[in-house]
Amino acid sequence: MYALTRHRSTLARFAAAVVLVTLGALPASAQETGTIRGSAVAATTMQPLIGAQISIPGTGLGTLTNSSGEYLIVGVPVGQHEVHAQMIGFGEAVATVNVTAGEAAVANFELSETAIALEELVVTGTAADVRRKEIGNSLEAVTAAEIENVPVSNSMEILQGRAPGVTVMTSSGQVGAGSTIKIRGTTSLSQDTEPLIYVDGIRIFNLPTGVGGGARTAVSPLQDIAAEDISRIEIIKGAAATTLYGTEASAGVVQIFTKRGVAGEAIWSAEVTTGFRSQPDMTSFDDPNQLFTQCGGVMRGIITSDDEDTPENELGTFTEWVDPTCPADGDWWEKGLHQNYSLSVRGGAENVTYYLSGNYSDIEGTLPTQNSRDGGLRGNFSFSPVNEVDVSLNTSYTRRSTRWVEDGNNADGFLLNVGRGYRGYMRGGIADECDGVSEDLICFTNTHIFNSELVTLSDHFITGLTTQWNPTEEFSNRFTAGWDYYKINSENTHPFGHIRSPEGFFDDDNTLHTKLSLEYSGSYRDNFGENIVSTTSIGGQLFRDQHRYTSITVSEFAGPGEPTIETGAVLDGRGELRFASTSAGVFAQEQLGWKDRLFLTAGIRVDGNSAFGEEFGLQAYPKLSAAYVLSDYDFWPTSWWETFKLRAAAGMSGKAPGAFDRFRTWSPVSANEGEPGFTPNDVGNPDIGPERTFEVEGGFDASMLNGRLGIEATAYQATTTDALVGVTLPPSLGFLSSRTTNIGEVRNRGLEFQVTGGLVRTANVDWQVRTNISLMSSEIIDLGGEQEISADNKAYFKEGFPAPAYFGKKIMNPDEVANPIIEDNAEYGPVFPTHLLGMSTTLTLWDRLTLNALAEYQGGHFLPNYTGYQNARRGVWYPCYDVQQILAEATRLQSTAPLDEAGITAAQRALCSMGRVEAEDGSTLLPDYDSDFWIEPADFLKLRSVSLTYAIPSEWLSFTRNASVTLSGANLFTWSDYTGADPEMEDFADRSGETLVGGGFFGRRDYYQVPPPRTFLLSFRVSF
Amino acid sequence: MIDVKRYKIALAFLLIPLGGCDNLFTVEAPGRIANDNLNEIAAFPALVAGMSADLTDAYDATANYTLPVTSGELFHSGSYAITDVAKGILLPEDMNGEWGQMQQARWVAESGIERMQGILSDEQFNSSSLVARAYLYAGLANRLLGENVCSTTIDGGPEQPNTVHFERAIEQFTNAIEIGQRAADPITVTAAYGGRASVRAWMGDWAGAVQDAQQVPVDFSFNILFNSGAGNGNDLYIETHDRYEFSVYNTIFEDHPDDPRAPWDTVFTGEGEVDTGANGLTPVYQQQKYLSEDADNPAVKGTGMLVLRAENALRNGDIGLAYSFMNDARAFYGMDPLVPASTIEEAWDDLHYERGATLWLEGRRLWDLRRWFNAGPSSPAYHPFLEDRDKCLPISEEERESNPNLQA
Repeated sequence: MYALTRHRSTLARFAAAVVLVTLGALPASAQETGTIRGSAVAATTMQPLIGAQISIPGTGLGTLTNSSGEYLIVGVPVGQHEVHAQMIGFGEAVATVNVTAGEAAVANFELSETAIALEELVVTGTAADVRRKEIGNSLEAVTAAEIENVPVSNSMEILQGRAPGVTVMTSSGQVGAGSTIKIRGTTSLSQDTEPLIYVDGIRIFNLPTGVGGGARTAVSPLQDIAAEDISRIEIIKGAAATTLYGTEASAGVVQIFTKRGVAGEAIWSAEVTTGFRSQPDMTSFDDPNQLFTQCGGVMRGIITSDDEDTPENELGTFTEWVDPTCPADGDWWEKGLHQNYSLSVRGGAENVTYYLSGNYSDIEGTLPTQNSRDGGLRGNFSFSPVNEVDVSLNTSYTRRSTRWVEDGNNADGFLLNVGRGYRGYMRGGIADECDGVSEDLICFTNTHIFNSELVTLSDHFITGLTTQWNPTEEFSNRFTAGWDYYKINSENTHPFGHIRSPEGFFDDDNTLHTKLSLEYSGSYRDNFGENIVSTTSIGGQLFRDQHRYTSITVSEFAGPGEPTIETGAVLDGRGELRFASTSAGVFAQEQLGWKDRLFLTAGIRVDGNSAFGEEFGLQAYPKLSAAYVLSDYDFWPTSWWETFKLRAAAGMSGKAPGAFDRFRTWSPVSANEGEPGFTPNDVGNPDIGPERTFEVEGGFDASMLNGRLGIEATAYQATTTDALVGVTLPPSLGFLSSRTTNIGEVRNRGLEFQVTGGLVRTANVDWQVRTNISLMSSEIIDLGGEQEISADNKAYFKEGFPAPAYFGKKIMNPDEVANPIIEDNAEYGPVFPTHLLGMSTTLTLWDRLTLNALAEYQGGHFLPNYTGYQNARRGVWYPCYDVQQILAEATRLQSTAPLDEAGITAAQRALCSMGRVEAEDGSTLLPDYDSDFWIEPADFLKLRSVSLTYAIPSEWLSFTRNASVTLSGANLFTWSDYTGADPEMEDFADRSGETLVGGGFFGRRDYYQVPPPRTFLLSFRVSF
Repeated sequence: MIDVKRYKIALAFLLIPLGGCDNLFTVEAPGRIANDNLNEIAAFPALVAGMSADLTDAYDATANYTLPVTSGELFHSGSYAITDVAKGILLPEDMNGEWGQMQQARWVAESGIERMQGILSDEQFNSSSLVARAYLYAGLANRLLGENVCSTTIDGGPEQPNTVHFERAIEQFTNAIEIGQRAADPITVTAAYGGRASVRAWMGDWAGAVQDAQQVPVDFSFNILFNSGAGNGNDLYIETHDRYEFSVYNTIFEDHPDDPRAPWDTVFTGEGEVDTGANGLTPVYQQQKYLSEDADNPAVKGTGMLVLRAENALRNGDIGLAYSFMNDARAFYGMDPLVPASTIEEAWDDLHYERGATLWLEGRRLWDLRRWFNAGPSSPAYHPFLEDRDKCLPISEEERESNPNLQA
């Protein structure tokens, strides 16, 4: 009864405070004041700490240390105060000072490093800034310090291998290509599974976008957040943590914080990076193990019959070809020059700070004509018009221009043509290119691959205004308004005279996505006696997305010249997709803290979405979490085990259906050579609603041995019910699209560990390692009566199997010297990795020399190797050459005896098949080829990066504050049994229409994508 | 002291973005048409034009892609993984596209007719040229299905024989003729006569078929319309001119290089060698019937009626009359007349080729081969091409798995 009354009292106070906010008037009184000043340094190195947070609880006063590690707080009421100092990666320090009127009190801090800082402030997934010790869910954070010296250029590369449960997948090795992110597996069977992305509190468009034309890859909005500008990235992973984000958040949330200004004189930072990119050797003439990227001589392949007309006596013999247009060094790969420049300045006065930056990069790919250039500007401003108000304006603009080489499953593509050798499409040349080539050789002129132009130009503007108003220490308010403008233009041109389209074509694709964000959250903190603290929060968010995609393709130009839409004689196609949708919701949360060691949080989010069915109304998502800091008890052995927190959380979030899923619609179509017509489009489901993911997670955070060892462990289970499933309707009912219906259920489970160790920590040697391990599994529980649902490219959703998994014809006796025994519709395994391992280490010697390395393992998943499949059946897959000669002999003899004698296994016979050979009785003498056989385990271990940094002594460059030089390499080695070009590749254009706007895609396949190159860089960094 | 004025200004500033957003909470999907909007009479022309567009798509998926290699009109020379289809192995899992497009064309036309019937008065409905044209499209869609599928289902119903499509087509062509005559639409009426002629023949009513065929002038052609600019270009042109996926090589038409009804050319490389298909092996003998993405497929034409009547004559044992019709058709193309064969078997051989050449790449050959194969080896009409090949397109895997009436 008492508690209820007190709670009502709290709510009443909260309501009163909100009213006062609206009225814009709160009382205040003048007091006598003094100042507090001091400094913060690292305890082990005594180096100044820049940006450490200094606060005086109970006063609402605080500041950050400046570039010298010093601070000054003015207007401090007279009396005794506790001053707290906090910084990410360090334990909290507290000092008590006595402030007298008009005098300056001094509080200096030495902060000790800690593996897990429970006092650090986090904001992602919470209603207001809270300490990490208060949250009941796991939260990953990557800080600027961790990436300062490593060769990453954007936020996507930063996340690679650095957080448990986070899978970053690239789609192409071409410079400028984006990646996709998946957190804790696949929770949806039809919707996109990309996490929500916030930048400085502003939600931005989060989906990769196909670049159109023939590159068959994608760009991502996350590429536009420059690594140099990033201060910190927070990741919350599942529904238990993302409840307050409501509908859309079941795939997790990634929040990026960019650097802010610090009070003090201006500090300039500049960085110059140069280096090169190169492809590892893929072929040689002595051992062309996979693809014919070398071209400076006579190449040869096997004559096969993947049709019916190869003369039997030619089968299995060699044919030879040359390419007179081959570069002088005999290889299509080039070394691509890498240049990157950045300059930033930050500083400010007591109430106004700023961070300004600009960056420019010009990176060449590893193929002729391929490059990406981008430049960006950022301005982050903060000011405090009064002590209780902080206003931040964060704005960035990035412009990127990427010229691609056509690639992937594309007859004009690079790897498809040069990789297929004599079975490519650039045969015969133009004019006299093949003059002088012997008649015994086939002449190819693959240089024409580079005559096509495909350029993507993107403009990305993000701005956000955040106002933090803390009228009292107990009452805080945050209002955020943001705008994300993301425009992509891709132009693909085959000029007049192109070898494969002599009259040329021109394709122009445009995508514009804007997102308006409005958010408010307010918290009121109250004490219930000495031991209980109540924090009540309410808030709301509104997001408005507008999307427009247009495309037009024209062809047949009258002659040479710059192709335009107007000059093409033939209109080959045009397309447009437009929509606007709104999502809005409110939330309320109550947190009770007991003795600052036990925290119970309950919350609820209520959402509406214009994509919901008419009868669906608002959706509610509840959450409940607990955090228990056992190490705050007196009995805890803090002498060697400093912190230990148990945590548990349960919560729900959702995923909205696609904007059109509720409506039965027809599309306009041009018929009868120009008349407008209607054709069926979406079949519609008026009863559709969001899918709901309920997640339970539990774990602990521990730091021991004086911060040398940190352990985080989490177990979770997420169950998505009412999963949106695309139910196929009988085509005889007229609509060929599937009907999205809330019928499925999928379960994801996993374990995550992160261990941070300071193996050596002496005055001269500091050696840290960090390992994160993720074990994930998923299972389809219910498909609502559907036997299976295709997820494209041999991937299916089936009850009782991972979501999704590859299925197909499978060789059951692969190693037996016999004909293959083939099982139809057999399971291969999951599409996405189930085991993740990230290992990084930092070794610092004499505070001068720092070695960083990061390796990542992804495993447990499969990938269709279409490159191998398509090449093998065409006789241009070197590992099959010997086998195919024996297969040819067996074909001629109508006997498998030659294969048996040579020990050719069932797998070899199937993978190297040149087509089914029938015995006289009609049975199968030799198996047919089938792409299913090429679904391969895609486990890999990659050495993502190694860097060596030398901090230049200040006496060498006396005008600088600090300076360093870094030598680094990225993507240095790959260990994998996967036989394709690279186990991370994906033909992105397999996704619908090359432009993904909502809707998930699950069936990855490697289809002649340029693999990622190695990068070697030299950086010089200076601040002054 | 808190500055009240500054707070009010700040609050007002923060609320500015909410102003002027009248449609903030609505979902907008410009470019897509709500189902109810099609009930407007003003929308009916576009509704019927849409039927034409869907029939175009159905032809493109079958007549311009699968059927030529299935029936030996073209040879697979490409890299598409349709080798089973090219070998005459027609599996449900490979037929999803063909089946879906054909069924959509039928459903759109038939449901559109029902929609118009529900809105228009009986008088308006029975004298509307749009309704007549809709019936024609429905009849042609049913003819395409009936001639090519092994068995079928209507609107998610139980499995039925393919002839149900012929029955529906006869009724729809008849309605097209009657309403078209009232609407004074001679093109629709003539095309419907031609359509009904063929399906009547397939249902055994050869006398009725001849009667209808006589209504179609020799120079008449009703086409399935393609338009590259609108995104429905003729795929057969793309596959044979852009990609070299199909070749005339290894077909009976390779032996008739000068037949204007089945024109083809050899493609040479810059070195002067015969170019090879997308599979890198097969010589490119390129069809020259469809010379652009805008090239249209004939669906009903007068010369087709002549070879139909020739077949009827042969069925009646009248060799002379059969050759008379065949030679009339040849004359239309400027070809010399054939000398009538001395035996009925030789006459059928000629008819097999003449009908094949006259209707080359129009999506009719598989049905002809199926009819002639089903006549049996003892019949002079017998044609062996389909002996070791599948004879028709099965119900697709998608339909089998999604239609509860087919689950049993």
